Amino acid sequence: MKHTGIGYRKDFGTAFLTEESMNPAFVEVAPENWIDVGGFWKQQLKQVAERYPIYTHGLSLSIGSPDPIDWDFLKKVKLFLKEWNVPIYSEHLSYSQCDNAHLYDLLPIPFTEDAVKHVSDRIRQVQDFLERKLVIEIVSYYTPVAAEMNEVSFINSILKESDCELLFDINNIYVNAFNHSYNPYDFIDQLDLSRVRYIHMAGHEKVSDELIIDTHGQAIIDPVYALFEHAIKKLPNEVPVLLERDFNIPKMNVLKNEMERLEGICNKTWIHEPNAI
Amino acid sequence: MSPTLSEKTLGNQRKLAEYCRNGEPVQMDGLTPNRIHHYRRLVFGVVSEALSSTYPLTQNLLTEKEWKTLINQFFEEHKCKDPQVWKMPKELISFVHSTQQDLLKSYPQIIDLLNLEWIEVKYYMMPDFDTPRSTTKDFWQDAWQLNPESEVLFFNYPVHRKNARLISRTDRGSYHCLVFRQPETLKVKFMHLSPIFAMIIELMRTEGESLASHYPKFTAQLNLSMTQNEFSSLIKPFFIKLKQDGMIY
Repeated sequence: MKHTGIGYRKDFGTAFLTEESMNPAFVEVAPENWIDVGGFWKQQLKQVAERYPIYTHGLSLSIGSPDPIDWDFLKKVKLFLKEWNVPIYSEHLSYSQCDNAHLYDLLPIPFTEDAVKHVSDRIRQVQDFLERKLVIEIVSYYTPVAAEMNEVSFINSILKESDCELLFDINNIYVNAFNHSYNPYDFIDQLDLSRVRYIHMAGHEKVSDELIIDTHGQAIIDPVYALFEHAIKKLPNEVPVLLERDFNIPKMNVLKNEMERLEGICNKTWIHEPNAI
Repeated sequence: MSPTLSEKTLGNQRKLAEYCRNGEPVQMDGLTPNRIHHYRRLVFGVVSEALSSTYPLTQNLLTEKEWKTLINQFFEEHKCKDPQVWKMPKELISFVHSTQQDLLKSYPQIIDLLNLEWIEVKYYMMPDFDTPRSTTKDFWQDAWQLNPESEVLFFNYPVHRKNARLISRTDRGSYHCLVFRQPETLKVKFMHLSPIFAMIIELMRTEGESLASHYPKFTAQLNLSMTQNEFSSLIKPFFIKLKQDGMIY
């Protein structure tokens, strides 16, 4: 495949390596799950890295945290990115640490002007340290927290002030639009799409008539494919696309079918710009 | 605190994070009250899953109620320090040690068991030591190279030898155990050691040199009344086993 990669998980490492026909354009890992890791898992990741480029999607940077940046942790991330020759380091526009306690999940940042400044300042510091652009993901959220501005203005302001890049998570936009009753197409049309560096696609779980949880545990649904098709038509460049699947992992051929569907949409849409990734 | 973050935003971020840990009702502008519990559920799920998968034997030792209570208390009272969730479970050991007097009384082996389980994870995951290997030719005269991914552990209870549920206070004693990651299989191996072999391995680790050069220390410390040949014949099978298992090169 040329555009479509897959989130690599220890759960399916052996099956992945024995399934030659998967052939993703790249694989994505969470650095936190691999930093300071040797032995069996590192050997397996080496085999993966011999075949595919490694992209990364961090979990614990906590870029929106009120706590200071964890420079020791970031040093390890920098070494990891160098060791595995990683072209993309993406993270979440959220916080997962507060008052020196890690929560290991993605809490929504209040959409406020001071949070824009705070987060942008931290992104700039991280970018300076890592000597690369950070690719920030729009996260799914289940309740707003003391918002003083709308979500799209919050995101665009951070992109502009921090000069970072955007991880365009189409499923998250769909989930947020459903949960907070707005039109995902309008939301996409208002985003600064010149900053999009990377796309994530995933499934979710509808837990009630008015709430979707972003589980990454199901197949991508048709309305999210439709939104994806709409979104990529608007991008100025081709970008890599990731299939995320973190729970209820199906057989490799099921994941491969999802990747092929994504790749087909990319090929159909980006036919005139073959070398822009 | 960041100079750019207002007290209000900081306060709201704190309130949400505290709610996730302690579940105390929280009020904030714009909050959707019937949804916020999902955050607590999701955060708890990550912590609980990490602890259960690291400590299956400890979970099995405790009653279901005791385990649930322990995990809930850890989640609410302990501030997890490690940004890497797979390393976080080691923080449970000091938490139990410092806060769980009732569990320590009911299960005196619990700290040893927690350590054993964490060490297995630690050794399975630990970074590789890329040290060049030499091959020992003469078992007695040459210096052995120890697998750097190894250590001698000390336990008060025989958690490495016996089902933890069958251990009682009468089992209290001094137990030594060797742990190492086998270079060929990359699996973690635990091996019970007598005090003599524990001492020999520690001497080899700290001072290097050959077994022959350590022999005077062995005889002095162990008050041995056997010849050098008798002693070397006695310990040779153990060293052959260590070599076969990849503990020494």
